[in-house]
Formats: sequence, structure tokens, C-alpha cells
Amino acid sequence: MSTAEPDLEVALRRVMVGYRVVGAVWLWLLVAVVVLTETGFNLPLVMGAGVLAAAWTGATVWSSGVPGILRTPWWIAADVAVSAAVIAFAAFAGTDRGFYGGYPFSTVLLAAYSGGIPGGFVAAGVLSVVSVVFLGVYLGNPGEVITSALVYVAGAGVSVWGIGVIRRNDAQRRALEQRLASEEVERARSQERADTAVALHDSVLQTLALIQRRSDDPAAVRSVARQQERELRDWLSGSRSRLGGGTAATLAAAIADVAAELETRYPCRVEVVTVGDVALGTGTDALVAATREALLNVAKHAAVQTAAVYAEVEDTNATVFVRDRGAGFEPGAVPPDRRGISESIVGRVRRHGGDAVIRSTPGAGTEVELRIPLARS
Amino acid sequence: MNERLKVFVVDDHAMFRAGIRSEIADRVWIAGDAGSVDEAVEGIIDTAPQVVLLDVHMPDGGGRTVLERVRERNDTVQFLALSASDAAEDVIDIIRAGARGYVTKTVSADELVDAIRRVADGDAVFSPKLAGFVLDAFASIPVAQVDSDLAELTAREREVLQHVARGYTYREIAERLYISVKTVETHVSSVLRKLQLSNRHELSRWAADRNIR
Repeated sequence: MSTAEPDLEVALRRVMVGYRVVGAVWLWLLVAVVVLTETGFNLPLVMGAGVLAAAWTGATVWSSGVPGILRTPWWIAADVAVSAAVIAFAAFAGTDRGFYGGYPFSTVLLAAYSGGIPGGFVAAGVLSVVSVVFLGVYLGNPGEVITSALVYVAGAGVSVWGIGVIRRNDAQRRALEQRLASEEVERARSQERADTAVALHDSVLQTLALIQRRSDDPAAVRSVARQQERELRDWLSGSRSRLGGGTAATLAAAIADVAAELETRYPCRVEVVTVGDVALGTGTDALVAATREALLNVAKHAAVQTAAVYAEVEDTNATVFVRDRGAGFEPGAVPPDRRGISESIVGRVRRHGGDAVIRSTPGAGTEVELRIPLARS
Repeated sequence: MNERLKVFVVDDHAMFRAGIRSEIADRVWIAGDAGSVDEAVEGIIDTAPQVVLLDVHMPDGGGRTVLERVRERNDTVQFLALSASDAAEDVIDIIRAGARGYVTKTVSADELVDAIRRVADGDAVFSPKLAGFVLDAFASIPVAQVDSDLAELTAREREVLQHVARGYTYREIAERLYISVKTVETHVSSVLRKLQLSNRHELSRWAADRNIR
């Protein structure tokens, strides 16, 4: 089983077969002109040329529905023979009225389409020779011979070249599409890796830190570890979409959950103000996770009892401010191996097309501004 | 200069009234307190305080009734709303009825005294929560329906309110926006006026959506 035929080949074949039909119609118009305006010709032979062309055109249309048949050498040969016969019939009938143009030319086109350079030029050559024999030698009209040979050879050249260009462009385009698709897959994979690293950082590492801090309280350690274990198992089995996340359906609810979670784990009060709301999606999930991370930083490093969260949903983006009046820090002085700020906050929202700005002054507190674009219908 | 402000406390929880008294009685003069609507109206008229601390959630019609019945007989006393709940409808309702500000009951004693002073001076007191509610209320009005100045916040008013919602004090906002504290107060008072005066269908609808009358 071969792969599906490219759209381009289907379209090219339709054009070729279409031109074949036009050629046959043109031939019948010539037949009509001869019959109506000329005298001294052999009527059965002229009609025979028309019938032969019409019959083979029907065969062409039918064959075009069978995959690959038009491109076999014997089919091309038969096609050339039919056109040669049409030229010969016309010559024997005693008329030299341009029968070489419309219908036989469609043979050159088809041969160029089916057989490329060899097909196109062999067909053009054979038909030119046939013209020399019948139009030149038999009818004694060398002018017509030159015209017909020129039409065939030039036609073959132009068609072979044009079809070649079209096919090459299409192949390049498809190769490019394929490469883009595989790059997209790779990008999705690396984003997933980054999301996984961040998820583990936020849940498992945070829990381990919590366990160390509360190592003097075995009951608390056990409960924290059990909860983390359950969460991790659910996440690994796929029944939980994100680690450390909740079950809220909207941004405001999720931020309220995050604040409540922080208040139970740390002696820190969180004032939450939200304006507007939006259903959670991947971008806003990242926003919530980054907010949680910013609040954890306040709880762990700022040495204050309160933090303020302000979330605002507008038409095109959602913004969250996390603010404390605590110790603050020098934003440039955070070591790169501390993933908290760079990955879990800034990287997280940037991966989803958003941005994060951290303003901090030692001694005067910190404000983290998180922004995520919203795709709304 | 160090004259103490005269304050009246209305709350149906005796425990809370006692708590307020013990926390701020050394800095303001608590002229009286009441635990029911009728008691509160009579007490406020009798003592004529400068500021009433008014619990939003009261039986017999709530804080709004107290405010309206006092207003009929005294229009100089100022009201500062207090609530344990942070339900937008309750808070906006009491502000629309005429309270000059709103603070949650978790507010610290220092902040509460500061809020009382501001209200007594005729300024508006917006907690971060209230700022959020107001932004929400004005944001939910479709632009097409905005038909007067009262229906819309100016860009500067919005900016100031956003900073209040983010937890900045008036002084910090003034520093960040390079304006004076007085200008910040002016903006906030202007927002309060718009909230109270604009008899707008849009705000009514916002209220109706949230079951506010």
C-alpha cells in the first residue's frame, strides 16, 4: 500500500484530463468547420479522427480514476499512438486544417505530466516525426510541419519545466510542514518537562522543606508526608491534573484556595482582593501556581505576618499582585540555582505568554506582579 | 490638638463592643454603644458622636436601617462600616446608604483609629477589599451604557483604587504616583461620591446580580 497521493498530483491530473477534454471538443469543432466549408475531402476519415479522439478521451477520463494507470509507459505509448492516428487520418482525408494543434497537443501535456522529461520529449518527438511524414511528405506542406513540431517541442519543454517547478515547490512546502510539526512536538515535550520540574519543585521539594522545619513534631511530619504521597500518586497515575493544585474552577476561587492553604501551613495572614473572574485554563493555572509560589516566598523569607494579594481579570489579561512589607531583597542578588523565583514564578508565566515583574527593596518589602494573557471568545 | 474624637459603637455582639472599647478607648472617646437597631438610633441621637462604628450585619434590618433612621434627624454624624464578612453586596449596600468607609473586623487597632480620624475629617476610608468591590462594580458596567460622568471612574481614580486594593497606604500611593496625599484622598472621595450619588441603572443591575436591593 503506497502513501496517499499528494493533493498537488490530484490537481495536476485534473488539469491534464480537463485539457484533454477541451482538445477533443476543439477537434470536433475543426471537423465541423471542414465538413461545412471544404470540398474534396474524405468524410469517413475525418469523422473517424473525431470518433477516435472522442473514444480515447472517454478512456482517459475513466483511467484517471484508476490510481497510477496514466503514468505507465504503455498508457503513454497508446496515447501517443492515438494522436498520431488522428494526424494521419486527417492527412489521408485530404485536409490540412490544423488538426495537429488541439487534441495531439494534449498528448504532449499528459506525457510531460506522466513521464517527465523523457515522456514529454519522446511524445513531442514522435508526433513531430508523424507531422513530417503526413503533413510534409504526404500533403506537401512544410510550413505546417514547422509549426506543429514547434508547438510540440516547445509545449513539452514548457510543461516539463512548469510541472517540475510546481512539484519541487510542493515537496519543499511539505518537507517544511513536516519539520515544523516535529519541532512543535519537541517544543511541547520540552514544555512538559519544564512543567514537570516546576510541579515537583512546588510540591515535593516544598513538602520536604516543611518536613525538615517540623522534624520535632512526628505527627505533623507523618501527616504532611502522607498527604504529599497521596497527591504524588494521583498525579503520576494521571487522575490529578496538577501537583499542589486544588479543585477550584475559577481564578478567584483558586487564589482564595491558595491563600487559605498558605494560612494553614504558615503563621501568615493573606488579604485577598479579586476584581472580576474567569474560568481556569492552562494559562491561569500557571498564574495561580506562580501566585502560590510568590506567597510561599513571603511566608518563608519576608518575616511578616501579612501578605496582600490583588487579582484583576480584564478582557485581554489577568493580573495578580502579591505584596508584603517584609524584609525584601536585592533582586539581582538571587543565586541562579534557587529555582523559586526564576522558574516557578517568572519562567512559569513566561512559558504561557505572560510576564512577571518583581519589585523589591531591602527592608521595605516586595511586590510581585504577574500577568497572563487571556484568550477570550 | 490632642482632643479625642467622640465615637459610638453599634454591634450586636457584646463581646465585640467590649473588645473595641479595650483596644481603642485610650485614644478615642467612646461615648456609648448599642446592640440593636432601636437602641442604636436613640443612643446616637442622644450622644451626637462624630463617628459611628457600624456593624453591617445587625438583626432587625441591619446597619443600613440604623444609618437611614439617624440621617433623618442628624446629618453631621459620620459612619464607618465594620464587618466580619467580606460579602460585596453588604459592603456596597452600606456605602451606598451613606457610610464614609469600610474596614474589616480583623483590622488592627492602629488602623482602626486612623480610619476613624479620616472619617471624622470627612475623608473616605477604603480598605483593599472595598476598593476591589468598587472596581468590580464599575468594571461590570458595559461601556455602551455609560451615560454620565458619575457612571465611570477616571483613569487616575482607577489607578488609585487599584493601589488601595493592592494593599498600599495613601502615603505610599502618593509617593508611587508622584501626587500629594491630599490628592489621593480627593480621588478616593470622588469615587465614594460617584458610588453614592449615581442613581444608575447599571450599578443597580450589578447590585441585582448579586442580590443587593
